[in-house]
Amino acid sequence: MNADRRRLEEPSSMNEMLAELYTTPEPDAVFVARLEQQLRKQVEVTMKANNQQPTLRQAQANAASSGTVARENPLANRRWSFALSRHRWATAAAVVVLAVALVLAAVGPQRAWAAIQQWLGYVPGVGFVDLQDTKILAAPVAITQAGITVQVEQVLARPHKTTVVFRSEGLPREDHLWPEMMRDDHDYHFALHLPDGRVLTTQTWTLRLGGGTLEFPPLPEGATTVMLTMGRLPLVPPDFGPEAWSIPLTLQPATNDLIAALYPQPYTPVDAAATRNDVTMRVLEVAHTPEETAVRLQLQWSDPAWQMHFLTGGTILPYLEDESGQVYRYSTGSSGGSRVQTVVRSVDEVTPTPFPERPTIEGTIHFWPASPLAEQLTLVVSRLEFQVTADAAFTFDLGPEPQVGDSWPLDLRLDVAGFPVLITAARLIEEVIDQGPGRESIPRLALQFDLEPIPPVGDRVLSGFGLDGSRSGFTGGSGRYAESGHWQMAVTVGRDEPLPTGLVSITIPRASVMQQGPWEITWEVP
Amino acid sequence: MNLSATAVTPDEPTDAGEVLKAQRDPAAFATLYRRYVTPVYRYIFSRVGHRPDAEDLTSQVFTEALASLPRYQEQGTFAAWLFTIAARRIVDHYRQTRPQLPLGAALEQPAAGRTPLAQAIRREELAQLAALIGRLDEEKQELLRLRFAAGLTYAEIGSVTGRSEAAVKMAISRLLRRLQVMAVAAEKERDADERR
Repeated sequence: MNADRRRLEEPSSMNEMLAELYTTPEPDAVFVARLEQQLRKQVEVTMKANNQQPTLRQAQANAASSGTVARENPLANRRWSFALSRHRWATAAAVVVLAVALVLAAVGPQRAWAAIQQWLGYVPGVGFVDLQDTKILAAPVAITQAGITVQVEQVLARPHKTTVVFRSEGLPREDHLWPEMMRDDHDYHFALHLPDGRVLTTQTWTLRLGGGTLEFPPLPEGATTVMLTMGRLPLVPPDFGPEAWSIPLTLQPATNDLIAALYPQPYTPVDAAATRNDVTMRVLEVAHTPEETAVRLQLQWSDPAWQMHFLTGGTILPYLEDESGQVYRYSTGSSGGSRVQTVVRSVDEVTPTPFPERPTIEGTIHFWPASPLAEQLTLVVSRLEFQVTADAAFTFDLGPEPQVGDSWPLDLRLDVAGFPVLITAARLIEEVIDQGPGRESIPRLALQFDLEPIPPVGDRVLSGFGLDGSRSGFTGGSGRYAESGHWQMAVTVGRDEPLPTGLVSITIPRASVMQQGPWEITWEVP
Repeated sequence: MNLSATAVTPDEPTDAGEVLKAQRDPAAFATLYRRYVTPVYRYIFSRVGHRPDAEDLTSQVFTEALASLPRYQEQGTFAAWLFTIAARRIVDHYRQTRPQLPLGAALEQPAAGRTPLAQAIRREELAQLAALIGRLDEEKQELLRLRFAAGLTYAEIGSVTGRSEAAVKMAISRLLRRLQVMAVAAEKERDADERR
C-alpha cells in the first residue's frame, strides 16, 4: 500500500493525478444543443432589432461626430446614454404615447390624466417606489480621484428616508484587492452633511465593491443640497487608493415630467398568478429598462409553520421566457447583491389579498433585459425552498473511552420533516480547519455520520438540515451532500473542550424542503 | 483530461479571427461557443460541483458573452475574457446560494481499467490530494482549476489572473512542488502513526 501511496510524491505523477482529480463530467449533449439553440434565438432577436434600429455603435458614432455628447454635462450624458441604449425602446414609447392620446380622446383629458398621473416609478438601484413628495437627483454626479471615479446615480429623499445609490469605476477586481483573505472592518463612515451643519449617518446599507445603496434618515423640509461623504469606498481595503470622498448633491422635487423623463413606468399585468401545491405566486408589477427587467412578486402559502427567504434559497433560479423562446436569466439587478428589494407599497394597493391570514412575502427579482420585440413574457420558477420545523432526534452510545479513528456501523431510521432518513455509520475523526495563509490551522474533533440518499416525498425533496449535539457537549456542526445523493453530517467538539463520552443526544431542529414546481405565469407586455 | 482543450489546430481558425467574424455576424458566434462550451462548463462544475447550477451558469456566461461581444476588444485572449465572465458569474452565484462540495466527482467515479484494489488505492490517493488542495489558499486553488479543470494554457491563465505567462508557469510549477512536499510530510506522518 505504501509503495502505491508513494506515487503521490513523484513529480511525474502529480500532473496526472491533478488532471484526474479535476476530471469533471462532460456537459450533457442535450444541454449543449439547447443552449446553442437559445443563443441562436438571441442572435435572431438582436438582428431583428438591429434591422429596425441603428446599431449602438452606429448611434454612438453618429452622436460623437455631431458633437452632441457632452461628457462634462452629466444630465446630457445620461440622457444620451439613455436615448442611445434605448433606441430599441423607441417603438414601445411611441405605442405608449399613442395609447395616451387615444385615452385622452376617448374619456376626456381630466379623467384620463387622473388615471395616468401616478407617482409610481421604477428607480434602478432602488426598486418600485412611490415618488410623491420626493426630491430626486436629476442627473448622476461623478467625482474622480487618482483614476477612480465614484458616481452617485440616484438620490431619493422621501418623507420616511433618504436613499443614495452609487457605484465606482477604475477599481481592480475584488480578488486582486483582497489577495490574502484580509478581513474588512466595514468602517466606511458614510454621512450626509446638511447646509446647516447637521450630519445624517446611515441606517442601513447594501454594498457592492466600490458601490452600494445607502439609506439615511429623511432630509429636513426645504433641504435641497447635501454633501455625501465616505471615509473609503465599500469593500475596498484601507489604504488602497483615494480615501475621504466628498460629493456635492443637488436635489429637485420629483415632478411628473421629471419622473417620466428619468424612470421607466411600471405596469401591473392582468391575472398574472399561478397556484401549485398550495403555493400561490403573483406578479404584482413589472418594469423594463435597457439593463434589466424587474418583477415584483408575491408568494402565499397555507402552512404558517413554513418559512421562506424569498426566491434566493433554491439552486435553480427563476427565469423569464418570451413567446419566441428567448430566455432571460435571473440577475442580481441594478439594486445589487442578493438582497431582496424592500417593497414600498402594500399589497392591497395593487391586488386584493384573498386570504390575508396566509403567510405572504413580497419582493422584487431582476432578470436580463427583455427584448423590445417581446410581446408576452412567462415567469418560470422551477422550485421553492422552505425552512420547516423538523423536531427529529436520536441517541448514540460513544462508549466510555472513544478514540479518534473509532467507527460504528449503525441502522438509525429517523423521520426528518416527513422524510425517511437512514444513518448507516458513525466515526470519530480529527478535521483540520485551514484558517488561510499566515494563520495557524486548527485541529477539531468531529463525530461524523454517513447517511443513505434521502428519497423525495411526493414532489418535495429534503434539501438540507443540520445536527445539533449541544445537549451532549458538541458545539458545532457541518454537513455535505455528494452528487451521488449520499450525505455526510457531523457534530464537532469545541477547541479545548473534552470529547463527550457515553450516550450522546443529537437533535435535528429544522430542515429545508424543496417544493418542486414549476410555477409559470404568463402576461402580455404592454 | 484534455489539457489542450482550447488549443487551435493549424486548420482551425484562431479565436481572434472568429471573434472578428462574430462581431460582424453574430451567427458566427456558434464556432466560439462550440470551442469553449466544454472547458467553460468543466471549469464551472469544478467550482460549484452541481450539474444544474453548472448548466445554468454556463448558459449565463455564453449569453453574456454573446451580448457583450460587440464591445469586446482584443486585449488578452478571448478565452481569458470568457473565463473572467465565468469567474464573475460564479462569485454572483455564491452570493446567492450555498457552496457545494468542489472536488467530489472524481472521488466517487470508478476509474476504468483498474482492479477494485487499485481503484481503492487511487481513490485514497486522490482524497489525500484533495485534502492537501483544500489547505491551499483560494488564489492557488483557482490556478489549479484554470489549469486542470478548464484546461487553459499558461498564457490564458495569465490573462484571466492578470499575470504574465512566465509568472503563471512559475506559480503552477511551485504549486506542484509544494503539493509534493505536503504529500511527503503527510505520508511521513501517516507512517509514524502506523508504526505507533
